Amino acid sequence: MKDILQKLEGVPGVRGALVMTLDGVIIASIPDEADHAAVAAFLSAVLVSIEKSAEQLNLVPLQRMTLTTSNGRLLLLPVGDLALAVIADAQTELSAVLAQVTAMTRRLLRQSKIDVPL
Amino acid sequence: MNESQWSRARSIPSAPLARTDNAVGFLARSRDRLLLPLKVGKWKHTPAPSSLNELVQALLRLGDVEQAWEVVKDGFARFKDNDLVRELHRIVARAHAELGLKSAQKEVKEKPSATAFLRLARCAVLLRDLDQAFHALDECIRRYPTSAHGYAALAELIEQRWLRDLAAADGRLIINYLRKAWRLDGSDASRPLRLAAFLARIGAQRSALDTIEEVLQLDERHADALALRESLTKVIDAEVAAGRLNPDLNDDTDSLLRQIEEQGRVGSDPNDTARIARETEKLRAWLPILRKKTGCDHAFVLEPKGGCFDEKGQVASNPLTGLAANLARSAQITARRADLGAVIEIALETAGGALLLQRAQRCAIGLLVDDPSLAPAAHDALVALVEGRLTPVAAK
Repeated sequence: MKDILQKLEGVPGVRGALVMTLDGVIIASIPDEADHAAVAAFLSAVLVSIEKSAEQLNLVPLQRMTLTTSNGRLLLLPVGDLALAVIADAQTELSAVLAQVTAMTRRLLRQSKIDVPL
Repeated sequence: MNESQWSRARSIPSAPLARTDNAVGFLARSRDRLLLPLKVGKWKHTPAPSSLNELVQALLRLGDVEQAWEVVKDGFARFKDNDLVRELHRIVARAHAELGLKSAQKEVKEKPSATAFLRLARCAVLLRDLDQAFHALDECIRRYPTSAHGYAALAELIEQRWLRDLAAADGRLIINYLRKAWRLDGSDASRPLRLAAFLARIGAQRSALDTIEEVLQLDERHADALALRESLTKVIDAEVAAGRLNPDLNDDTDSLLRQIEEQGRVGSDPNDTARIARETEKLRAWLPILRKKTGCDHAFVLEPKGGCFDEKGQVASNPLTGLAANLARSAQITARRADLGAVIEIALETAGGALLLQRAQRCAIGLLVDDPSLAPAAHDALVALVEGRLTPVAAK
């Protein structure tokens, strides 16, 4: 999992990424020194808090959640039973990064089917 | 300025002149020059919006923006309620600011000084180019670290941003920069007074009172400081009497700023509710146009506390309002934890549609897009609305 995630390192504009379970447990993250625990916990809280009303509004299945802020962007993509979160720059053109992320997501999806964590 | 001075033709080339630098432009300007004394006389003897309009337009065509600005200021003072005069004032103010910006840019390049950077920032603010204004002021305090005016102006600009974003980091910067401006120039009491007002606004009344006391030690008759001390003392006494405040403890400004950021509102500021209500009302008027433009049935305004409004009034709680409020609140907390700054927009994209939330000042505008392929167009319309570029759809 870490090997796949490391392919995102060095992608222009990407500051960090993590793969987490839907209840907020981090499976892998980059860069190593970054502490993503709080972000994972809150992303998990977001998913839980919106789950019921999203279903009622037929807003399922979730494909991507993008949070754009003054300093950057946070992308959240569900991957089977896991979720991939990417923290990127606000100014960078994201299409190239998103293409990378999509490719990564597909790989993670294949891997998660073979090797279901936890 | 008398009429003979007016009648002297201006020979300074300018942007409007450059655009009409041909035979037609020459003829038009010749006519304007000939008729200028007449128009000046008309405005002087029978001041009216129409004579003001004629004179200002002639001056603008002749490229005399400075003079047009002087005249329009006078006209605005006399006919403030007239739509034509207001529009004229807006146009000339913009032209004047553009001229000022160019001259300040030139000055910064050729003969840089703290004053030149401040002038550049002021013109950029008038033209709503906040990025340039921030850049000019950052550069000002970097090159001239003893410029009290630079720190004070930067604090003022950040305070505007804080009122919109309520970011704790901005709040800390405002306090630091105002303190620094005061340290650098102790003779100007406007900085500590501004600092005290800001501290009071975030709920740090005891710190605000301490700041005011320091001002009064220097000038015990300072009317504004005395008035602020009186109102602060009343508030503190009431809070102490209610058992909500311990007068012996100090305010934890950092914690107060973080609390405001997390809650998305300034609980201790009585004007905050009114400000948000005004913003909501303004945004609600745009919802029918937004609906027409995007083809989305569900468009709404979301207040920081979670209240949802459409053009008819408050919307009763339903799954959509719940989802939007939860999403906005969680996004705010996540952005803070990830140190991403103020939230600008949130997009929840699903196979069944998309929910888009775009921040507009302190509130947010939401759109539920049923067809995922229409989400980019809906997003563009939301951005246009927030940036004031959304235009009504023409009837077919």
